[in-house]
Amino acid sequence: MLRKLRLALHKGEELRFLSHLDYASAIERMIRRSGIKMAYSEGFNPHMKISFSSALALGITASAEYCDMDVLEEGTLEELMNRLSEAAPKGLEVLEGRFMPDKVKKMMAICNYAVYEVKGPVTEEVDWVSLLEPFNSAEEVLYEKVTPKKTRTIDVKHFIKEPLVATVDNGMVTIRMAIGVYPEGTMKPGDMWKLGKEQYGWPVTDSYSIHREAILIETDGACITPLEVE
Amino acid sequence: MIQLDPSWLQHVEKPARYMGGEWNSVAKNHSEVDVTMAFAFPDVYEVSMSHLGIKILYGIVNERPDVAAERVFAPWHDMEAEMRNREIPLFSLETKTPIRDFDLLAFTLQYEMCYTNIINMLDLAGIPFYGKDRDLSFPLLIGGGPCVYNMEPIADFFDVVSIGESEDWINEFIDLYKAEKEKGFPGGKEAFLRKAAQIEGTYIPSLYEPQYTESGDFAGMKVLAEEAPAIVKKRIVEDMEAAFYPTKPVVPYLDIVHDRAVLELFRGCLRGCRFCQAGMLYRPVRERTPERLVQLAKEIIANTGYNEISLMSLSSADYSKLPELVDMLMEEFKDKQVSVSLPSLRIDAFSIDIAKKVQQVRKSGLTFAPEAGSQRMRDVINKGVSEEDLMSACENAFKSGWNTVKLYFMMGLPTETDEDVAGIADLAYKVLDLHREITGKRNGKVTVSCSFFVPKSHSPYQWYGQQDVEEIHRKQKYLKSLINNRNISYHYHDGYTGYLEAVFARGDRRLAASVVEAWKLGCKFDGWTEFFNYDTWMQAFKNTNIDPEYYARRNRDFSEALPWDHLDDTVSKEFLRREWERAVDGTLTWDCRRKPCNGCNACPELGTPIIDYKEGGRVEKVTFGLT
Repeated sequence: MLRKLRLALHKGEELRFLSHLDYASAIERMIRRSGIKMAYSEGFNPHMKISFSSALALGITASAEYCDMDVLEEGTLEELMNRLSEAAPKGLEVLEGRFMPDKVKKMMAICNYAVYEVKGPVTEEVDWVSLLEPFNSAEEVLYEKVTPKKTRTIDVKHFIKEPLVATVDNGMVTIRMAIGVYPEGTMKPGDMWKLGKEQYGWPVTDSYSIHREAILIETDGACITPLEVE
Repeated sequence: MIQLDPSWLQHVEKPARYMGGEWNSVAKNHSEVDVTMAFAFPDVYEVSMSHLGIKILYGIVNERPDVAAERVFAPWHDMEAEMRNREIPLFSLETKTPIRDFDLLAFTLQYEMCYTNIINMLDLAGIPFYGKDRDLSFPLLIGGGPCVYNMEPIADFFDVVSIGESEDWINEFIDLYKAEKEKGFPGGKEAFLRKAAQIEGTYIPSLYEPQYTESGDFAGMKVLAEEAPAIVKKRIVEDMEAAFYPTKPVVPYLDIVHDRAVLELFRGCLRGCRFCQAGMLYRPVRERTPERLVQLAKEIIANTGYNEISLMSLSSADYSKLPELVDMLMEEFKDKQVSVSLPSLRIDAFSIDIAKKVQQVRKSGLTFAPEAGSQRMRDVINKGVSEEDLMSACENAFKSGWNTVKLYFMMGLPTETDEDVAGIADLAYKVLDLHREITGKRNGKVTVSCSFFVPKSHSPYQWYGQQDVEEIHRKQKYLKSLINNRNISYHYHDGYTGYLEAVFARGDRRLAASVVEAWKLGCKFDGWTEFFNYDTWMQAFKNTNIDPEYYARRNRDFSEALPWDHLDDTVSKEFLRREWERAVDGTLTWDCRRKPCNGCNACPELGTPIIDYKEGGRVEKVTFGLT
């Protein structure tokens, strides 16, 4: 019997520098080690049927990253989660799980709201509330997004969903950014940091690290996690 | 412990190369062990992690509760710059401990072109290059791997060298080190090295002093201590069946060069190709049983989560129980989505049948190594493969759906003429024509890949002067002029790398200064075409008064002392000489596995017979050594 298992996984410091492909293959190997029978795609080159809530870039840790697996095995949720935990590498934790209804939508298609914390050293002490004010109250902020293929101008405010909040601790500032992830694109948290530094005079450097606090599904201003989907 | 801050580490290429923490990696608390050891491979992570030898030794040493074994590889250029900039010394992957703080630092020497990387890594670690400049407050520098058989060019850097297979040696050596460390090393480093010299298979370079004639030729080794044997004989693992095998190898996060489980079927190869050093070094053939191999395969797959297992050996298709093994593995893994791959194929129809079995769906490409273009040349090198063999292998492959064939050749072999070179093009055309004949299609593809022959120590060509580089470049162009078909692609490297390899493959201790000089002038990662700098190397030789031609190109006299005569792989010099003479005559020497002994001397000298499970295990027959 095929069951859709949705898991919340913690991607910790030890896995920070895995690209999405490396991360996916680490998860696949974890599943294989756990011995849990999985469904595979048909064809010349069968692939394990797993999918993720997003493609987390190299350099980003995540409080929770979600993974869907097509499981061909009996057993309770707790048993399966335990088997996976035993096979999990350092830095990866199986946090929560749920068997999902058969027709559940792919997470990639519905996850549209990500909360990041970008942290780096400050070069001078400032009042961050007033420093962030101009950006937070602006109607429109234009930014030239450069990709290997093309350069285009986007309105950052279309993607930044909540006012930016800064917390300073021991010479390090952490900026919380809630960013929309849409079919037409998104704003990278690193680009937001750069924009703050270059256009709003944030006293920061090119040194920073990114943590994703949440990946959510937002509908009319209300957010739920992928595990809460009906 | 070194702290790596992600805020800068994220800017280097593939930071996971330096992170450690992979599944099955072992991080022990150094305060709870007696000895700490770092295994080093002088190349980038993806290359280093693909090497079986380190997996074996890392496993063996970490099984001991009293030793912590960790890994260290060459940082890539960008990381090296960051480390130098931030004054971060070379560190281990497991516990990020500075390499300088380990008791033992063991390098595996897989190819000559890594020597400047060793120097660079020592420099990054803050360790003096020459053994004589290090007291026991520095790690002892240990060498192992195939290049140790002629490591003379870099011998002065090393304290201790393991000749041959190190599985048993490493435990004996660590036992001695641990005991002496507990006693506080009475007598200091030299006393310790003299004790170590008495462990079989140990070469202590500082206890040997090369002698030279007035004209500057190598004249022999003077042994400086009574504990040091005049001839250091290699160690081997006789019983592969009982030998340790790493069933919990470290599983990398990065996509490394060979990113799959590895099953070593057997050691040694007795085909006797005359250009091949490995075919001499690893004698005799010693197999594992298929039952043991299947057991190992099951454990490795369960412990790693790999979905592919590669059957590895010098010549895997020569494994006597290959069809049985492949059937057993396919049966074992049929519902587990684990595929089996065979990296090297013998040139015959039988091999294709096996390949068909293991590659049921993906008909990627087949690779064959005829090594030479003409039958005459193949007989000279004792390849023992005919055009008919190649055609029947290709016929079978094309009938079974393959369309791409890759052919490997060498250029610059002894006695080679333009006719032999033209034979390479002929073969490529014949294979392509055969494809058209069989399939009626024009989508066949033949890739011809040509390397420049490097004469190696301990092979029948150890006396042969390498061909002139410019002559090789002329032959490369000549061959190119003969290949005018868009379905045949022709690849070759410039000859300079092969030339430098030839200098070091048969060099002596006077070359150490050139290695350091080349490094000072900026050479590193010489095995990488994009970083290899021939002119800088020539400058380094000039600055150190070394004539590279003397090492690479000179035909050596049979009566001459050779710088590696004291490092014994057990194949006798007389046998090599006879093979050289038979090569010149184009006379074949058979594979002795199921035929009478050829007298290479390995079996009687080691007291180990060929172990072949088609023949019931230990092959008892009369063996001898030519003298």
